[in-house]
Amino acid sequence: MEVEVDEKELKAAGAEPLPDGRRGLRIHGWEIETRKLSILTSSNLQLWEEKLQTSHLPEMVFGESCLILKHVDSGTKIHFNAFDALTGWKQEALRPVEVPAAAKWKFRSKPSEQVILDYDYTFTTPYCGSETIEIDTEKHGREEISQGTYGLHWDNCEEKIDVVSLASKEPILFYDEVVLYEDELADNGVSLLTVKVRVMPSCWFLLLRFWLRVDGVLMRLRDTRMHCVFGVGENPIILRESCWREATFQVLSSVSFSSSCMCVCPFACCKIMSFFDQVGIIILLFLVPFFRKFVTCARLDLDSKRCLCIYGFYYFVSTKMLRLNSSKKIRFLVISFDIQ
Amino acid sequence: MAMIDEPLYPIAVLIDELKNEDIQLRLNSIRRLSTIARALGEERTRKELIPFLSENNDDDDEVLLAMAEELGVFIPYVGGVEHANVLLPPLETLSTVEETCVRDKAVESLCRIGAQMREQDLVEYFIPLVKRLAAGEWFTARVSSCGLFHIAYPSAPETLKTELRAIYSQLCQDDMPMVRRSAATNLGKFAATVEASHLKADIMSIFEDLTQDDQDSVRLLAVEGCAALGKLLEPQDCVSHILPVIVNFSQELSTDSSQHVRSALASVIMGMAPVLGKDATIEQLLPIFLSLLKDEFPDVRLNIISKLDQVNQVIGIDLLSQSLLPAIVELAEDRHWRVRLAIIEYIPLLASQLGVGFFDDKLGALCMQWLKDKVYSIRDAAANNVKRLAEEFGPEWAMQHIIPQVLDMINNPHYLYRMTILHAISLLAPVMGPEITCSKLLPVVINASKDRVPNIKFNVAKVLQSLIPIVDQSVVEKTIRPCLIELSEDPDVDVRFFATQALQSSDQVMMST
Amino acid sequence: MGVNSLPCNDLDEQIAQLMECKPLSEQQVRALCEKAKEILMEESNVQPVESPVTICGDIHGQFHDLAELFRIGGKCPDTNYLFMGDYVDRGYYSVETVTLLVALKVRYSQRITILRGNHESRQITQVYGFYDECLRKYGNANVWKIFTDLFDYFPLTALVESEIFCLHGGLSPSIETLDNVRNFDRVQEVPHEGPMCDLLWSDPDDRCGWGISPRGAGYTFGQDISEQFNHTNNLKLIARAHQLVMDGFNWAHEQKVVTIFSAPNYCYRCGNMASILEVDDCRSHTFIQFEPAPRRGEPDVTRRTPDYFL
Repeated sequence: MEVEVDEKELKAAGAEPLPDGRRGLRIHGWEIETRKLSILTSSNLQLWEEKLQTSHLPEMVFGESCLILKHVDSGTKIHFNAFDALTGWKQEALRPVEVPAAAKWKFRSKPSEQVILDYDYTFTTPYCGSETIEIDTEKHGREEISQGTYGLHWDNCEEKIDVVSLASKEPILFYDEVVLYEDELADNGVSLLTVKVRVMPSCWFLLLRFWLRVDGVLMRLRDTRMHCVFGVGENPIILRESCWREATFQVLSSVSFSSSCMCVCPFACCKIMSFFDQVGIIILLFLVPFFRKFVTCARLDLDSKRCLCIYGFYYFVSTKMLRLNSSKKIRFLVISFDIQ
Repeated sequence: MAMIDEPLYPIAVLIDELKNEDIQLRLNSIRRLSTIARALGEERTRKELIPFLSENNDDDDEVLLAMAEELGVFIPYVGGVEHANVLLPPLETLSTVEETCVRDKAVESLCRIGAQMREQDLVEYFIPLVKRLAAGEWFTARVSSCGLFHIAYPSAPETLKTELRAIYSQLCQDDMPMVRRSAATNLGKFAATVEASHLKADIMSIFEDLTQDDQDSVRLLAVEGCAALGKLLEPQDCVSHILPVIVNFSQELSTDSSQHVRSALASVIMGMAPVLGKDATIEQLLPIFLSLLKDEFPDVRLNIISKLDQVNQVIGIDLLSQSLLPAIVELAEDRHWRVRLAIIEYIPLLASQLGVGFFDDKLGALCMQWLKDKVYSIRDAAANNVKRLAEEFGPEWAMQHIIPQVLDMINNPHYLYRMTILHAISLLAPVMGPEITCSKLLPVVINASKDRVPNIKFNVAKVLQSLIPIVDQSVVEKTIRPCLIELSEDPDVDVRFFATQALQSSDQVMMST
Repeated sequence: MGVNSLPCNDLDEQIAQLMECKPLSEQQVRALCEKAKEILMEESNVQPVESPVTICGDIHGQFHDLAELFRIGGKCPDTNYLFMGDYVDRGYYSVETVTLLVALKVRYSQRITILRGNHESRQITQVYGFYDECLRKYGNANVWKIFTDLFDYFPLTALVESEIFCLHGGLSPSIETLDNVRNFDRVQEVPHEGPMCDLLWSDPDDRCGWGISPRGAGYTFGQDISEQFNHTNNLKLIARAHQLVMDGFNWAHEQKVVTIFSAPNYCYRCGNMASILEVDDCRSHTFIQFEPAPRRGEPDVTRRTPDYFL
C-alpha cells in the first residue's frame, strides 16, 4: 500500500496529488514529483558509458529515477538525477583511495603489461542538484532553456536553514526517497547517492546525500540540503546548504570508536542503508564538527580547493552566488550558502 | 466477615488487576469477565460492572480488543435480551478508538448484540447509537457506523429508514477516504436489507457515485461489491441498472491506470455473467473480458482465466471457445510462466465441455508442446494435464491421442524433457490400466534404464516402483525386478539408492499378497 | 559411504523443512556440516562435473528466489546443479539458503556442486549480513562459525566435461593452467591477495591484458587473457558470477566468458532479471531468465515510512 496521506490534510494545505498515477503533488505553485524505476539496461549502460566517456559506471545506476521540483510560474525546475551526478563525478576525478589489502598487493610480483585502472571507483560526486528553466510560451509551446547544471546563480547569504521549524512534527503531505546510484566497491564498502524529500503544509525540504564507506579506510559524507518555505512574499526563496565531511577509520578508532560494535547490530529491515552505515554517518555528523577547532595542515591527497585537513578529518568549505531573472512577473530570488 | 465480603471480592480483584502494570494480568482479568459477571449476578453486572468497563477504556489495544470480544457475548450475564442495551455504551466507545482491530471487533460485537435485540430496543437504543457514530467528529466513529446499518435498518420505522438511507449516502461522500471505503465495503450487506423500490433508486445512485470516486481503493471496493448487488436485483433490473454502470465503468476501468482495480474488475466481471444472463453477457461482458485477457499485468489475465467456467455456464462452450480460443492460444505461450500455468490448469475443464472433437483440433498440439516447456513447473503441470485428459476421455481415446505422442518424446536429447515423459508415464499408467501399461508403457521405461544420464536411471527406478501395484505379479518378476536389480548395482550412488528402495517396496508388496 | 552417517529419512525431513524456509537447530546444523566437511574435503580445487548440469550464479540470501529457481530449473536431485558461490549476505535469508544448499549437497553429493564465492569468508560475512542474521536467528555466533569453517572446504572451481570452467570471480596472473589451481591448499580463509583470492574476486574487462583496480587490490583481465587461458587448457567457455547484470547473464570477450547472476531484483529494488545456464547432455546450452517469485505476506520492503529527516 502507498503511504496513506490524509486527503483532508492535503486539501486543507491547498495541495492535490498528481494525476495519472504519478507520485507527487502540487502545492503553492510547486509541482513535486518522484520517479523510481529499475537499474539501467545493458544497452543504456553502453550509451551512458559513451556519453560520459568512461568504461566504468556504478553497479546499480537508477538512470531513470529522479526527484523533480518545479516552480510553475517561473518555470524553474530543480531536479536530481544520476546522469548529472555522474557527470560531476567524472569532472571531479578524485584520485582513487587504496583499500587495506593494497598494502599486501604491493609485494606481489607484477605481471607484464599491467594497467593500473585509474579512476575514482568511489564515484564521489560534488553534485548538488540540476537546474533548468522551462518556459511555456503560447507560440513555441514548451521551451527549455538550460543554463547548464550549475546555471542558476546562488548568492551568498547569512541566513541558515531553520532547523527548529523543520523539527516540528507538521504533517508530511508527501515523502519519498530515491536512490540515484549505488556501488558495492567490489565488496569493499558502499557508495550510495540518494535524495530524500518531504513536503509539509508550510514548506518543502530535501536532502541529497552522498555516502561512502571504504572498509577499513575512510568514510565520506556529502550532504546538500534545500529548504523552501511557502508563501513568504512574492518571490520564493530556496536556502541551499552543502556540507562535506570525511574521516579515516584510523582516526575514528582512536577516538574510542570501536569497529567491533558495528558487527553486532539489530536487523535493519526496509532500509537502504545498513545500521552499520547509519552509525558511521552519525559519527561523522557529530565528531567532525567537534574537531574542526583544531586546525593543522596535514597530509592527504586531496584536491586544491580551500580545505582543512585535520588529523585525518576533512572539511570542504565553499560559497557560491545565485541570482535568477525570471521572464515572468514573479522574480525568483534564490539564495544559498554553505557552512562548516 | 469473609462471607459478607465475598461477593465484593471478585470485583475488587478485577479492579486491582485491571490497573496492574502487567498487561498479562490485565488481559487475564478481561478474559475472565464472564466468570466475574456470574459471581456478581445480573443486576450488579448491569449496574456496576458494565459502567466500570465503560469508564476504564483507556488501555492497551490488546486489552481493549479482548474487552470488545467479551462484551459481544455478554447478553446472558446482564439478564437477557431485554437488558442488552446496557452493553451498547462501552462498545460504542470502543468502536471509535484509533486501533483498527479493536474497532472492527467492537462493530462485530455490536452486530451480534443488535441481531438479538428486540425491535423496540433497537429503535430506542441501537439506531440512535448508529446515528451518533455516523455524525461523529472523529473519522473512526464514522468508519465504524457503516458496519452497523444492516442491523439497524430492518427494525426501523419508515421515517427512520429514510433517514438512515440518507445518512449512508452521506457517508459514501465523506471527506475521508477511509470512511468512503468502509461505506463501499458494507454496501452489499446494507443493500440486502433495503426494499426493492429503494434499492433501485437510492442504493444504485450510491453505488454509481462510489464507482467514480477519486481514490482507486474506493472504486475497487465498489466494484467488488457489485456482484453482491447484482444478486439482489431482478435480472432485468440488473441489466438496466448495474450493467450500464459496469460497462461504462469497465470501459474506463479496463484502461484504469491502477492495475489493482483492473485486477479486481477482472475477478468481479466473471461473477456477473450468471447474474446478467446469456444475451447481456455476450453483448456487453465478453468484449470487456477479452480485452482484460490481454492486459499487460499478469494478475489481471490470471483473474479472467481462473473464472472462465462461470461464463461458460452462461453462454455455452461453443461461443466461449470461438471467442476465447485465440486468446487462450496466445496465453498458452505467455511470457510469464504463471499465466501459462493457469491456462494449463483450465484445460481439462475446457476439454470436458468441448468434447473430444474440439480437443483434437486445437488443444492437442498445445498440450504436447507444454511437455517441452523451458520451465519445469509447466512441464510438471503438463504431465498432470495429460493424465487428467486421459481420465476424462478414457483409455481408448488416450491410446489414440495421447499415448503415442507422449511416448514419442522419450528420445528428446535433453534429459529434463525425457524425465518429464517418464513422469507422465507414471501418472498415466493407473488410468490406462494393466494391459496397456505392460504392452506399451513398460517397455519404454525399461528401455530408459539404459540411459547414459544417472538422473534418468533413478527416475526409472521410481517409475518402476509406482508401476508395481498396477501390473501383474508375473510381470514384476519377469521384467521389473531384473531391471531394478541391475540398477541397484549401478556405479551411481543415487541410482543404487532408488533402485534398492524400489526393490524393498516390491518385496513388501509380494509379502502382503 | 556417501550418506550413511546421517540417515536419509532425517536428511529428507530436514530438506523438506528447509524448503519451507524454516532453519534447522544449531545441533542439526553442526551434524550436517560435519558430514558436509567429509564430502567436500574429498573434492578437488578443480572439481570435475559431468553434463548435463544447470549452472547458477549469486543467490545472496534471497531464499524465495532460490525456490523460484527450483521451480524453473527443476528440483534437485532430478536436475543437476552447479552453484558458483555467494549464497549469503545482503538478502534476508542467508541462513536458510546456505543450509538448504549444504543439506542438498550432503544428501545428493553427485547431483549438486557448490563452489566458494568471495562472500563465503569470515571477514566479509561480518560486514554484509550473514553474521548478524545468525546472531538474530540463533542468539549466538556458533552457527556462523560452523558455516564459515565449512566454507574453507568448498571447492574453488569446477570443470564441466573438460570444457566449461566455472568459478566465482575470474582468472589470475599467477595461474596459467588448471594444474596450477589443483596444486595449492585451499583450506583457509580467503586471502587478501594471491591466486586463491583472484579466482574469487577478479573481473573480466574491456581492456586487454591484466589491470589492477584503482582500489589497489583486485585484478581485471582482458579478452586476450581469456583467449590464452582457454586455449592453453582446452576450454570452450569460462562461466563465472560475482557481478550484477541486468539481464541475468552477460557475454564478454566474444563469447569466451559469461557472467551468470541468479538473484532477481537484487536488494529488492534493482529490477534485474536472474538467469541459470542449462548445459544438457548434448553440451548445448540454454539460458533461462526469470523474475523474482511473487511474495505473499511479506512486508513490502520498498515502501518507506515517512521520516522527519533533517
